[in-house]
Amino acid sequence: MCLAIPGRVESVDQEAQTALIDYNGVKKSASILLLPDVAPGVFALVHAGFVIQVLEEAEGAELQKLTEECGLV
Amino acid sequence: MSEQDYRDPGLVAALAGRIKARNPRPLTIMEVCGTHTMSIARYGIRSLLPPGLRLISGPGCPVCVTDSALISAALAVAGLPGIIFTSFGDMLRVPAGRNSLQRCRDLGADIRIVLSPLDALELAKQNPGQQVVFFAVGFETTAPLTAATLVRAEAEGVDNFSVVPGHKTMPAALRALLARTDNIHGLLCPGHVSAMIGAEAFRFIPEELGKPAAVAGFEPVDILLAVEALTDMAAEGRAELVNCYPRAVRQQGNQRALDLLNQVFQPAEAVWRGLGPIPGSGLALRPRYARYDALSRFSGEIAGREAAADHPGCRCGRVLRGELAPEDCPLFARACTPGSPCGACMVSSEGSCAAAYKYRKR
Amino acid sequence: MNDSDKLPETSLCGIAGPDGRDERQGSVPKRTGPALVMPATTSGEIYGQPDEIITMAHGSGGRLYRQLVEEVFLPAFDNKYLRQLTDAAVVGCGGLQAALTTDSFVVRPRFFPGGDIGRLSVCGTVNDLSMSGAVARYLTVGMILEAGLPLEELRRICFSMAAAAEEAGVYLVTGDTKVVERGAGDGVYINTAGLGLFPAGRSPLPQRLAAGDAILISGALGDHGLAVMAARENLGFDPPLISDVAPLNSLVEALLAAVPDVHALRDPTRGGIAAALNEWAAAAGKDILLEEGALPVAQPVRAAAALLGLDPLYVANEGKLLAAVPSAQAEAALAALRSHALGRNAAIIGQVGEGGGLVSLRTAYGAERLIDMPEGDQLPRIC
Repeated sequence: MCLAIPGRVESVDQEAQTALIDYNGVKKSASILLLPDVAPGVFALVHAGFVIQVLEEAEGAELQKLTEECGLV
Repeated sequence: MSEQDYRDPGLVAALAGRIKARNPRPLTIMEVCGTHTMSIARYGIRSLLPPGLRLISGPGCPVCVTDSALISAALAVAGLPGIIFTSFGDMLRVPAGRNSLQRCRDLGADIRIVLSPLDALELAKQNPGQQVVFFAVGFETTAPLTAATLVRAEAEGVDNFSVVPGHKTMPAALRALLARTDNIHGLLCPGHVSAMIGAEAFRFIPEELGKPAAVAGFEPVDILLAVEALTDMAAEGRAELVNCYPRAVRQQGNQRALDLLNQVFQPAEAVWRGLGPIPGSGLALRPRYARYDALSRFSGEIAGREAAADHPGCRCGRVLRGELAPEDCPLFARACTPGSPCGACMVSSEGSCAAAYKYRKR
Repeated sequence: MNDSDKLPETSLCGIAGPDGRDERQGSVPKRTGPALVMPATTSGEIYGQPDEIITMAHGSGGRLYRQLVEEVFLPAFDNKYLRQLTDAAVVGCGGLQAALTTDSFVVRPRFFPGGDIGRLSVCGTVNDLSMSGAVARYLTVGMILEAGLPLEELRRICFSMAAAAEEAGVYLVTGDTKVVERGAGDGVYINTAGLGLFPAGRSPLPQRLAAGDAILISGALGDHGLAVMAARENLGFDPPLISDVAPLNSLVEALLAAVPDVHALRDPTRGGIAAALNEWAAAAGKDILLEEGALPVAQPVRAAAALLGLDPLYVANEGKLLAAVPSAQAEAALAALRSHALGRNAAIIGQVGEGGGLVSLRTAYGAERLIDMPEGDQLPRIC
């Protein structure tokens, strides 16, 4: 239970407390009431119209490592 | 970075191979998140695992565990004149007897699907002459959203807005569930609940209940990594908490969300379909926000409503406790189908039975 | 036009536009009066009984709709033409064969990115005719207008219909108009009926799958349904999702010129390709296996569907066709579709198997799962 979709934070409107999220194909705004300090440029998880957490880019490195481990590079 | 990378078939095949190569002994792993139920079914994860490694579904679907009494109460409110009743789409077809929000809507009630509780609040602002009610269902991923919405409602003086409080929390239910069953060897913990409340919230599973726990994401790679971690721990007799979804889950979660949650809600007893009443497993409105409780606000008008009874043959309770596989329920795919569901597990978009039905093989 | 002529502003479902008003037409009158009396429920009641009322689910082109056809319409109207149970009926007219079809359009909002109810009403009927192999010729237009509808809007719709008719090369030859009281309609309902003729030497398509047939789609899935939903709910996608509504008659001609031996054509509207393929499979008593990786979906549609928890397989298309062709003709069919502007993203998406009647999908990981007939409209979900 928790359809949360990752997207890139394109811009933040502090006054409206919303962020414009780019879902790799469409953009739509989401509330930042739960993560008011979110910064443009990061990837974030969005659940039911709210940004809930920032996705750590470091994970890209983890995935790379996993791919190498599995001998898939 | 894209979620597509976590679906890469080469990587998935390699991980499945890795698990098989470890030759794990027979194990039963339970997931407690409807979105995991759906992902596992949709991607056919079970067919990638060695036989003997069993994935079962627990009470992780907030729609499924909403009991009939609460749905009947919601229907009663929705049926009142002048009410705009809002809900996530997930709840629309959940039956309470012969009724459902969908049927209520077909009969003339003003019931609208919203994608966010803030949309419901917006409706209240646009329709000052009417009462707008939001059906607040969901676990800890969703409850902070309702909390934030109520804080805003108060700040903006929106009085024609209220919620039917149906949020539940996982830890108390997991304790109750794992206390009465001994054949679960590991737990796949819900990744987005953890993103909100922190991985630490599930520390009690290894430490109090002695079971390995792995916080898992929802893509096939995420799920397989977590299953691998659990099989390793089980093989070595270790009971630990592993975070297999570090890109989204911090140990302490989202502090602001937790603060809002605590500001608006307090733990209360909640009735879980299939598990009965569990103390401390629900979220009730604190006194400061009690006036936003729709069941109190409209208590006079909905008193004397008929409480719906569950279908006499419905075994959702046993399915939710992981005691019965959907396919083994005598009603499954016969009397009980998504088109004519007997219980919530079949109608919820991510109920175990709905997932089993939708993604069944020939 | 003054305020008293405007339709009430209560929105039907969802969020207002940026200036607080929403541009959707149609409204739900505020309910007053006693609470709804819901049907009584006792523990002895039998569940799963068919409803005694029409519900929204009957209108979504899925299982309940089929049930309505079998249990209400066929018993009342049964005849050899109706039993074809295709969108367009093939009828005889003094030695000539013709195709006849009708369709009604109730879409909300009436104007959406990529089209409007008028364009939809012309293309929908042209497409139904084309799927039988007939050349669409003449359309009728029946309109039910709700008092209060702005004339300017009606003009826009009519000009759009005229443009679509010209694009499709068909004539709107006659029509009818009724007006109902405010609240008794939803702005505009349009019905179009269409007549098409089979060119010399062409028989109506068999509309029946054979084992081994290739299944093709002429382009990406889900454009129309998601565009309309996004517009209706004011979801604020940027760029806006665009409906694919288009007349497919020239695409069909291109296909039939290259592959006269097409076994079946279908435009997958309500219920998406899931509904259309399930009907094909059931009618032929054959299985269909789809390849998940072969299904074309535009990236914005994929993203929007993910956000709403929807599956593009079940979303309506209004500018796409499904084709079942003998496997030896699959590549020729694909080339013919791709050579046309409306078929650039055509793809071979599956194959017809032997006995059965079920539709399955092979995932990227090799597992197969069933694709059921839809039960009702897909609802957005957050869980």
